[in-house]
Amino acid sequence: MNNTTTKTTIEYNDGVVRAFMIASIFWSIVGLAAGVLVAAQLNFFQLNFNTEWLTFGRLRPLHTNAVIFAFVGNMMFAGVYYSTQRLCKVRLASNFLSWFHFWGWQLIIVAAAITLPLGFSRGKEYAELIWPINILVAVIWLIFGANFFWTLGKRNERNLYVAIWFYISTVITVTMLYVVNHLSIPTGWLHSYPVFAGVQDALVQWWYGHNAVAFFLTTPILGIMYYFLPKAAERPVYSYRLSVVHFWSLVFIYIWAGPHHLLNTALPSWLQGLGMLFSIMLWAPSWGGMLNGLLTLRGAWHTLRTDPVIKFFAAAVTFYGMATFEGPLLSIKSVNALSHYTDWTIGHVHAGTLGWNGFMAAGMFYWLAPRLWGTKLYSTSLANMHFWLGMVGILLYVASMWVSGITQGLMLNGTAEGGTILSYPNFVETLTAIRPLMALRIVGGGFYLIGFFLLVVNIYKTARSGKAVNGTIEVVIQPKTKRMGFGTTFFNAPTLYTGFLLLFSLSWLFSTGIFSLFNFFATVVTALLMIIHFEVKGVTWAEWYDKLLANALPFTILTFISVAIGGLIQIVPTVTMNRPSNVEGRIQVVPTPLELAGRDIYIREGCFNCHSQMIRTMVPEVLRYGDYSRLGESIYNHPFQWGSKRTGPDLAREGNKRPDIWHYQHMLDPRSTSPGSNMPNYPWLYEQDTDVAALPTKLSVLRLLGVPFIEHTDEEIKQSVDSQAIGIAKQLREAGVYVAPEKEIIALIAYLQSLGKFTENKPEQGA
Amino acid sequence: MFKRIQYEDWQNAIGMIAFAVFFVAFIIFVFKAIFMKKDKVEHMANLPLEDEQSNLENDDAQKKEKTRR
Repeated sequence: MNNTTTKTTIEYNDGVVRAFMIASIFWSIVGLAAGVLVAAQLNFFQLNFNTEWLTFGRLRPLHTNAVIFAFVGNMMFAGVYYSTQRLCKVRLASNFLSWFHFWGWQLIIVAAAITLPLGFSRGKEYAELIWPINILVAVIWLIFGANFFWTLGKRNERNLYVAIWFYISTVITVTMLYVVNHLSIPTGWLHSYPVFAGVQDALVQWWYGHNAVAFFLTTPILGIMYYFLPKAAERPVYSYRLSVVHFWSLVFIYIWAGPHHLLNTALPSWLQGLGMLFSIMLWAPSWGGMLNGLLTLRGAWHTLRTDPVIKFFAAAVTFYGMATFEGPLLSIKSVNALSHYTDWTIGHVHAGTLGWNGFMAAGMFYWLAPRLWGTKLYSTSLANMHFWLGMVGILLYVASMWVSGITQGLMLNGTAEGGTILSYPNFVETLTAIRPLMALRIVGGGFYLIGFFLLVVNIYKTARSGKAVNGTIEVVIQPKTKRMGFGTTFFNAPTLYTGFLLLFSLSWLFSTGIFSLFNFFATVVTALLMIIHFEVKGVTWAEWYDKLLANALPFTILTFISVAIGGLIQIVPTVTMNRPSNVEGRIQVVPTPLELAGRDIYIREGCFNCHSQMIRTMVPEVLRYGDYSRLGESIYNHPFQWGSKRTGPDLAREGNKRPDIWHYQHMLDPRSTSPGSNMPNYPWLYEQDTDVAALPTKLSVLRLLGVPFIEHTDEEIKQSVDSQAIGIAKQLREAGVYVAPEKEIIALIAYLQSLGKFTENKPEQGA
Repeated sequence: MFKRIQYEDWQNAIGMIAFAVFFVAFIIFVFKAIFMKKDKVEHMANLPLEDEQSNLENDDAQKKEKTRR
């Protein structure tokens, strides 16, 4: 081993940081503009101009994907690459991987921006992208991970600052979440079915969806906060100790909280309880982090008046605190009964994304631009104006969505005459009541967008006034120290004592009689031995922990274990639970080929963005939509379509409620059957033919996934489709309209009329 | 709803197990955080502040630094 120290000057790779920052700014405009447009479409249905690729159901996923993965994603990569190089005192490990990462990510975004409006969707929120893009995302993310960990491996600073911990948790957790939630079997180049169905798909989806918020929109941005806030305030973080507790608590708790998106549904109650419990527990670490951020500004509060960077950061951290207070609140089952499926959730999400993510991004860009171009910020006044426009925009947006959500929730849940009838039986009535608030949202979103236009001007002018420069640092390269191996990481006294303590205490909790007594004594003896051993070998134990924090790989494995436990315990039991043979009571009727084709059209048009298929276990829901949904009633749904927002009514029991002609007229002009509706017209469904040719492959893939379709030849499938389609077309003709049986509207009507069909599955004797 | 034998009893334990695991882990990392050495904490907290020569024109921080020297 070489024991000599050498001095060298390192030039950071800031070129890729600049590129990610510019990309983030560009996509912020696209994503925010798409948001304003879809918000406007909810008020003015005409704004899709009867064009399929401009319709709300297709553009809303474009908006969410653009702001999450394009705007915040690129911002995150810029922040991670900039701070990691400085915290590790090393240049990024590979120029090639860094640029491959950059261009690969932009390619993914462009591919998403093309495919989503064209209607290519997996039908799951924030996971809509089709399977070839999923594979590209996985490859590019792994390249990012490889480049990041390689950089850590080459670092010239022994210790890993807490921001790096947050980045590590992001890299590994997003990999795990993304892969599991995107497991699919392709039926063609542009279409696939997820391997999970019904309740299990719902659980996996919200385990992913919730933790996309946690590990894509929160942990990396917290890492960025822990680096950039001290930089901007020119003082160290308020409490490094608190940041350590913040990190471990957050990564451990967050992963369990996903089921709070499925409260009062057909999800088993133990999972609902678990989701609620851990969501409430999240309050503490989140607020610990927020306070740590705000208190870092102690002694620097006066700069709030003059420094726009501090303004953005202080407001962002405050919004983080507000959103993380509201999140646990909405996870309480009784509060969720009111808030879920309404605009309250939309308000909550936007407080987080616009306030926390957007303002952190703006603060970081205003701080970075002068440094990356070796100049000073073009205009502080313009940045201040951006701040106030954005702030007013967020407040208008969030406040209007709160009022809208609570209003609609109260109206939808309102009953009269001792809870026997609905106070507002017409759904459209509740929509009309919130129309002004929905209009106010456009104004709020518009203000926020204008603010970002000011940022574009300011950063452009700043860049033009300077020239691109890369940071440099002189470092002393220390001789390599011995790294920890796997054996030292896991087979040591603290880890083994912890394992035995857990084993005996849990066994004591769940055993009876003599076993309980034995486990109790074993717990006490282990605890005593642990204390005695620590008294003797305390220093060695501390060294183990300190070494762990300085060794990226073992640390990464421990973090992975922390986040994987929650997912495993929640998801694995549902594998057996979601089998038809294990379900008692109602079980979904297997759809016909035409109904399946109709379902794929439903998913393509993004109907799940506005319509749920889950009647919750609540009296008003049962009065409004029919008997509450059972677990077995969506057991063959790949993907599940429970939804998360009701801009329109629930459709779980829509089948046979109304005649075919009603659906025909409703899809052509929703206001002809539901006066006051804000649903767009779908004229192209009356012109395009149903894709019958794809059905044999789709049916065989679903059969492979366990849906009990009877094996048919291609000809038999076609005959089945024709026979059902002709039947529907005939009924429509009798009602006075003519439509060819091969048109998509026929398949969609077949699907809508099948919703809610079930058979009774009798429990086996002795089971 | 499901096969009772599989899900009616032990499912309730999962919440308790989860809480117990978290609680043990929580105690350990709080303990470690509290007993971190002061000089180590200071070194770690100051890591973001000890980096390269600033590229910023008229950087106030740089000016302060020069004045101090």
